[in-house]
Amino acid sequence: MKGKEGALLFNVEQSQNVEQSRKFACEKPLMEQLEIMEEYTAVHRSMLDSSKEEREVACLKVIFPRLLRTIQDQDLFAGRLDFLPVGFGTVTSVGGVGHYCVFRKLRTFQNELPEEERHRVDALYEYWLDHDLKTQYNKEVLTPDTIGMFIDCNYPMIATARLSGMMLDYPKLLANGIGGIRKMLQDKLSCDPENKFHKAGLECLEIFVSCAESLRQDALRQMDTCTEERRPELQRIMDGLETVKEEPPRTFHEALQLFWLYALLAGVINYGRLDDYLGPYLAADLREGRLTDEDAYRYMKCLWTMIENRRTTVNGRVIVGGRGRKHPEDADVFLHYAMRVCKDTRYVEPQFTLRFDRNTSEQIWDEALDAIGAGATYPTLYNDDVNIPAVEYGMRVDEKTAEQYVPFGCTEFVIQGQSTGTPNICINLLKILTIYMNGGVDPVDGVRKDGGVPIKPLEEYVSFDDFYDGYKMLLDHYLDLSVKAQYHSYEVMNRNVAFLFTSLMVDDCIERGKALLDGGIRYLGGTNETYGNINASDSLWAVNDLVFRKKKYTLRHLHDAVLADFKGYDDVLQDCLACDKYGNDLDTADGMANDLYEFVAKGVRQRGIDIGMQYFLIVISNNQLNSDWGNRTAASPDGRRAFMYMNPANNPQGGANRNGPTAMLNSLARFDARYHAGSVQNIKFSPGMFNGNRELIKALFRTYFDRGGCHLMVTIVDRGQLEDAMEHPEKYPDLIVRVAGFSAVFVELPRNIQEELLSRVLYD
Amino acid sequence: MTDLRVSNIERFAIKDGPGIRTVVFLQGCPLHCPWCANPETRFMSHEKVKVIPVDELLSLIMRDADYYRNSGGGLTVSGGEPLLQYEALAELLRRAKECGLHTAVETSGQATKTAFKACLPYVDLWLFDVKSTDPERLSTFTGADHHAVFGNLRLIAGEDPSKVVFRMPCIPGFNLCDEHFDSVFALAESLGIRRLDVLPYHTLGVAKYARLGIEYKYDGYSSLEPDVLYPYVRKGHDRGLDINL
Repeated sequence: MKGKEGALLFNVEQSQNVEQSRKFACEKPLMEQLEIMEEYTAVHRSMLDSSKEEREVACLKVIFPRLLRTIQDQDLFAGRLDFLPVGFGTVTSVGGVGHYCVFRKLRTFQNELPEEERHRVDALYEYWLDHDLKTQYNKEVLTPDTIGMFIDCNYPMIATARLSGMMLDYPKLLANGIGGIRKMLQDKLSCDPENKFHKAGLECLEIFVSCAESLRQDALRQMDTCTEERRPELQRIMDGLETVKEEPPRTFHEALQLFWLYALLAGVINYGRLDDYLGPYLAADLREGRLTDEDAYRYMKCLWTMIENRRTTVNGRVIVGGRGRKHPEDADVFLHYAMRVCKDTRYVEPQFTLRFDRNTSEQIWDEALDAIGAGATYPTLYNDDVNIPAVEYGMRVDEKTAEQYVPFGCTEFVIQGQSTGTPNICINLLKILTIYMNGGVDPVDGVRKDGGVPIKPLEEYVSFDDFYDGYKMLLDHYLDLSVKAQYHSYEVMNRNVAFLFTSLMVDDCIERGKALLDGGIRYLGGTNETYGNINASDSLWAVNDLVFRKKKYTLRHLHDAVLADFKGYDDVLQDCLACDKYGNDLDTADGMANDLYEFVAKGVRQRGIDIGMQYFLIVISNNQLNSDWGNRTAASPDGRRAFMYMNPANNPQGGANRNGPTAMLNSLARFDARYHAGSVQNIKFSPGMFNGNRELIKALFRTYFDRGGCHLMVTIVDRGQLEDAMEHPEKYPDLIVRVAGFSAVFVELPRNIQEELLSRVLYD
Repeated sequence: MTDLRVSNIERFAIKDGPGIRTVVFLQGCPLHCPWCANPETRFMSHEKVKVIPVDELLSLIMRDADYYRNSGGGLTVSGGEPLLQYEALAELLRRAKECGLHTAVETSGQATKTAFKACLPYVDLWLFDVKSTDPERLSTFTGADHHAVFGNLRLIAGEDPSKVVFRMPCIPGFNLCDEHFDSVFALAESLGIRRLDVLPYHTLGVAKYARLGIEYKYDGYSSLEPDVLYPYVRKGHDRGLDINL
């Protein structure tokens, strides 16, 4: 095993995603888990020569319904799922991608086994080194110096294969039911009986049915021992499961059950516009007396809890409001309950998201600000007036299609049920700048990472534009790498898997008889997460200002200071820090930031079009990678010290914005949203400021959104509270903060992330 | 080109007039209130003073114009004593009115009648400091000339009392007594002024004195808790005044 691993450029056991939330332990005994993984592996091995569709179905049958968890006493509808270190999935946050092995977790699992059984895991480990989808991708794409694996912060760019952010066409599922979908597939097969996708699709529906039946049996068993109050709930669960095996749902309960179980089996962890999809069922039940107000609230709370319990850290998007809803009035019924539950529960997931436009009612605004003001960090706010036209242009779709945009994960947009948008690339613009200034060598580890792009000695740059052009050349190289690596991730995934459950519920897979990455998806899109944007542009501005405009230092002298992490160069550091910074509504630094943004964003977009994708767009989203990657990035001319966190998303570096919230928001609103597929904006207020000046805060937000602000997410904390929580974590078990594209319990975050959050300006 | 000597600019100010505002603090003050929280604004020359042409200042102010519009806010000029630079100030205010901004000026009242007359047409709201109605006390503690200050007050209130708000710094050891409040309330009533802001003494500015190398002479008092002022506020309310703490 060692020999084989040694030949790889990467460590397969490295953590491959951001995982802050603690997951539930698997319900099954260890030996049974081992047996399931062995069986899964054996089936996979035996079907290596079969089609990917047939192999996928056979493997899914090993884990479903077996990995379903017991229905919990508080569950009003059914469906919880376990994951093993080996199995099938679509994303890293739950399970893994395609036929996966999470080697790190498999190793941990092995160590929990009795000594004499551990060798059985070695055999699995060995097999999956050759067959784990992501490992295959890594072998084909990673390089020793330029492209690292998720999440290796020593590289300027990291790449992965995953299918994040799929949002399914639930209206199709709900309108047709499993029986209706089955009929569609059968009709297709009557014309083309050998179509592998349609055949496998039918088998998936049977897997769905067997899972529904398995859960029904579980509920039936629980009837024997349950309390009298619980009995009718279990009966409703059983009846609902029986219905959704075949029929379209008739009630809110059945609709929730069908939607939820399907999402669970598909492995999708973002849910989309549930107000529009489920609202009509909820509203009808309330109208016709099947549900009381209290029942509705309990169902909604149960949905919130089920989503929270999946613990994906950065996903769980539920979107309400906005243009393009088919049932806006019924959807608002759902919305109002969701607002209440969000405010009361203060869970870190779901990532509750409000889309709004100029016509959004005052009542909805007040509910949203109440929830935010209570410290929920939700809803996050997305401005349709800006985003719909932006999506229309960026993704090259018509307005009606663009109206169905939904943010997933940390903010990336997809078109619900119609596009892929997975961010399989992250790129660190600041690290690339530090490499560029250092003649192609990363000052952090002395490794050359210029990819062969020629870089002039610093003495030869005659103007700022000359200097900037050289940086752009290196960026161009990385942007080239990024689009190829993204595209290749689709090829590797398509070679191995069909993502059947997902494919069945996105356009136009059934129509075309193809899995989504096989030509089935209507819009093949993707996203590229950019990091260190603002540190890079502030650094460029400092170079321009100090070297070329004021001629205070030579480029070499400035670089020497940066390389020394400003030790012995205190005067240079002070000058660097005193340069204009983005976030203060200054044309100098903001102009630089916008110029760099447009260069990168347009460059990525054009490359996506050229390679044949519907869209490939940057997202300035950011989970906690701005901190982790900053910890492996050298000092920079903006005065940022070596290994310090980088700026979050397209917010200023913590503390750099000194002109108050209007100035910061003016800076934020500057980027043209047409060139990105999501950009998140943090703002932090004290409760006194936010709740004590509601009308002014409203005016502040409205003005920002009128100016072209695309998004805002708000954290409410008292001055000194975060500092105190770092000292006395036991006092703050439920202090929720917005990190960037996700929320978290502050005291559960690692210290480096806490420090970055602390550095952000609080408006008090 | 008309310039202003500016000590600071605060955007998203929400306490100095209605709505979201930008406050421009002008440099220089003829008074020497010993409790002053902004002693750096006292001198006409100071290393941190920025000399900014009115044009430039206005374009900076206008960057938040839509926030003002949506919140009923605008521009506030404070100090120091802004009317010391009345010619440039009047120019700034005139231009701000041309741009449709709501304008407010916070003043100690210690300036010439000419200065007030120059600005009067362009001011929507006067935030007028009333420190003491006792001429001798006022002069001893702050150096202000009662005759000038209250003459100016009568001038602007005579024009339109609804455009005047009293600002009452409440300073222990100076004016924290029934007699003072009663006389200020009576003054307001006599001039037809309805609105009063009560500003509790605080020590947030003390550290600035050390940095400037001047002695802080108002030692021995801690920041006022609002509850000390409630009885006075209540009295104002009882007289039908719109009094805010």
